[in-house]
Amino acid sequence: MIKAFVRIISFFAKEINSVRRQPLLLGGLILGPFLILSLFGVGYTGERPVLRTALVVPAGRIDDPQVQQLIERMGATFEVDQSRHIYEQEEPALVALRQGEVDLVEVFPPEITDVFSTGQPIDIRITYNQIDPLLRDWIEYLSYTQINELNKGLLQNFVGASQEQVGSLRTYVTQARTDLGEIRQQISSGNREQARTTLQQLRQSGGVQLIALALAQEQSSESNQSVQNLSTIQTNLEQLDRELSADGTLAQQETRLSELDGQLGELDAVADQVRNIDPAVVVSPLRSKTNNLAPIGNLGDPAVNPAQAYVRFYTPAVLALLLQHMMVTLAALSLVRERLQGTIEVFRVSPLTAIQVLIGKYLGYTVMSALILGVLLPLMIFGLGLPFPLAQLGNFALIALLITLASLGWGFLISAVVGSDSQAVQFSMLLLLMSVFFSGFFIPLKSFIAAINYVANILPVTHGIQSFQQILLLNQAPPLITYLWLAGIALVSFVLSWLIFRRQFQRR
Amino acid sequence: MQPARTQPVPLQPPARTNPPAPDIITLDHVSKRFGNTVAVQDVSWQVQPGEIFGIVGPSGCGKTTTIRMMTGVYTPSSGTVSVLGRAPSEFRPRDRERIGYIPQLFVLYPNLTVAENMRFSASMYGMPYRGRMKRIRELLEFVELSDAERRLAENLSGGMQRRLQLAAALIHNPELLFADEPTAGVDPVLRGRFWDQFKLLKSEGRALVVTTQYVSEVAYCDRVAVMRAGELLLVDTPEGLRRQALGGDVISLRVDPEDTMNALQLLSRHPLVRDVHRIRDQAPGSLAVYVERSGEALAEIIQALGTDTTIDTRHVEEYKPPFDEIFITLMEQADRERPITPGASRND
Repeated sequence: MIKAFVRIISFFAKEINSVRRQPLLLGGLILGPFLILSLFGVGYTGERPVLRTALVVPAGRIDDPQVQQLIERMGATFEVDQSRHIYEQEEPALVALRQGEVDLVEVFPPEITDVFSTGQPIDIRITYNQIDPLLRDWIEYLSYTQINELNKGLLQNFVGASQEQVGSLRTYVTQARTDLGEIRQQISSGNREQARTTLQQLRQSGGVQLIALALAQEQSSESNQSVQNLSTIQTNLEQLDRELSADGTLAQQETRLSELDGQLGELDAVADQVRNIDPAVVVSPLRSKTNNLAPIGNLGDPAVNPAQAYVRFYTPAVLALLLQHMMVTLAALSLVRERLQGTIEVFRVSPLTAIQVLIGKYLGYTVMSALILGVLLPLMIFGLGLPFPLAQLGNFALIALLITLASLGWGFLISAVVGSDSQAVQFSMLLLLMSVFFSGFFIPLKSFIAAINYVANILPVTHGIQSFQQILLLNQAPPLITYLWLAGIALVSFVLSWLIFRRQFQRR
Repeated sequence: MQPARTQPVPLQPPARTNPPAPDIITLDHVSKRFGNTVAVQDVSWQVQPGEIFGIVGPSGCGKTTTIRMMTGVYTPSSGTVSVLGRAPSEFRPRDRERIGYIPQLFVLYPNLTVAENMRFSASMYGMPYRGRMKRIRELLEFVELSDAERRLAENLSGGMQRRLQLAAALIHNPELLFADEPTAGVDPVLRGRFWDQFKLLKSEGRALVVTTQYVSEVAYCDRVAVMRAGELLLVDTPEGLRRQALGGDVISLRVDPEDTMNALQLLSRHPLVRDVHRIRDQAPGSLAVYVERSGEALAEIIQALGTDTTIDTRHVEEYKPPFDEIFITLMEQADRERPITPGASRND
């Protein structure tokens, strides 16, 4: 038993000594990720791409206030260099696009200065030259939001103008109320015919209809009430006219006049309200107010300092990916090198067994992983501001151990089946590529079909990213299933690599 | 420049956990095939304790395959191999601890120091940590690498690497050492030193099985197996090989060139002489006389030549041809008797 332990330790010491003799490798493993993340932090300006835009404006319209206002609103999404990339013809703008001077070309049609003239929607054409699907999506999305912004601007202008009209219509309301007062006076003085004449003039003036029409244009919900008011006013005016001609009682006529006055008063109040509403509220009466329940206070605000927020968010993922890649590569090269170097022949003659070799190597690389993490983690905490809740130290250590063992299992499995150093490196890189795509590192796993989750689950880094983010960013313990997945990968890969290596180790 | 040659330091005798069998190794009609290719065909021999047993033969004759069957790396396709009283396929760890092995190539770790490689080998054999350093120092002194203890193995010369390999193979004090071409690529001075060390190990009671391409090295062995194309040609002592190659002993003599014919006639009639002929590539009058035993024939031939006054004898001595010549003779004899079928064996 003691001899078996000593044999296992031989590989532990050998692996540690081999790696510590490679300062470049160690430096790369420790400083590399730190420097890469630091560079990312220094250089990252925000996730949304800046789209350089060439704008084609109809000849002679560049100084039009409407065009200038649209260009100003475009700046919220696209970047327009007005000194270089404003064109009157489309062709030179397309040349600039093909030469990579701009990312897209936006063409304003001739109707841009009078958008409501045709009664039809006007197309603003946006042309781009892009193969990157992510950037293509961005352009499509930003084009959509830009057109929304332009439409909102146009509508606000229109609403503002309409409100001016409502202001003038209120004069008609005042006049109508004055006319009603005059009718009341004429009735009370018994001058019924004169009252009917004044009433006819009021009905024919159309002022009330104009008020209602303006209200209908202003705001549909409000106009419903206005149209009802209008209908009631017209009904009451007709009724009053009939009562005057048919010798209705004075009381009836007084009641009718009071109702009419009241209704015009309400109309006047609504018109006043409409006139004083902010056009921006009329165009966009709803707005979103989001609330994130996740405790992300220590991650930084992506709107204020996107680099800091992104660096802190991605650091746990980088840590998990690095840990996996480091262990996979070291283990993948390990057994194949023993085979190629011929040391396995000496092992076969010696009392060593395959499992002793494997356990010894596991032990060596696990200690190495702990040492590297021991240096890298403080660098990330103090250098990049990665939060580290001390209460989660045990969970972090356990997850790091399980990622290490699971990754070593993958590495030894590769090492057991490949025939050369270069194949081992090639397979390690393929696993890295698979991890970048299918672990949720960059692309959320929700973006894939369910079957891809099976692939994602057999990668240690998938569970590593999720659990490191939970531990470090949310101060939460990972769920039991994460531990089970990692332990399962570690166990299955260990058994498989042991079975294959034992077969190779056997005396033939 | 080679370091000054020093006398190797004797090591402690191997610890014998079990009394060795009378023959420490027995091969009985052993063959090894890889698919349709025959690597070793019907090889039989025994190795005794305390013996240096050499295996010589041209490259690809099956030396390494045979060593691997004895160490348990390969199992024979037919026949039986017994090492330390047990088939290598049934070795227990404690059996393996009694065996040392120097493979054909340097297989220690280049990025470890000499001492670290030694410690690795010690741990590989489960040696306890206590007393290990003393053993390592002894061995490094034995192979004259004490000064290189902290040097990386990759920075050692080829000869030093081979010596390190020898020291590593002896770390656990084995009673049986297999060395597969340990002197390959090593300069003649260092080769001599290696054999000094082997002789010292033999004097301590260890058995050594050593393969070599340098035919002259068979002189250091107690017995030698000569292999060719996977087959065993013969097993004998170095002296026995010489006699088998030459058909007996050879006496070289030189007479006055004018007396050559007289000397040929006289000697061809002598009862102890099997054959006599001129040696053409030497001075005129040089003759080679083949006899059964040179020890008894030499005096009688000198007497016979002395009694004949017509022959002026100038020089007489027993002729010992180099082993290279003997080896070539043996191979030529074998080629004549059993020509090699192309593609019948594989290089191992």
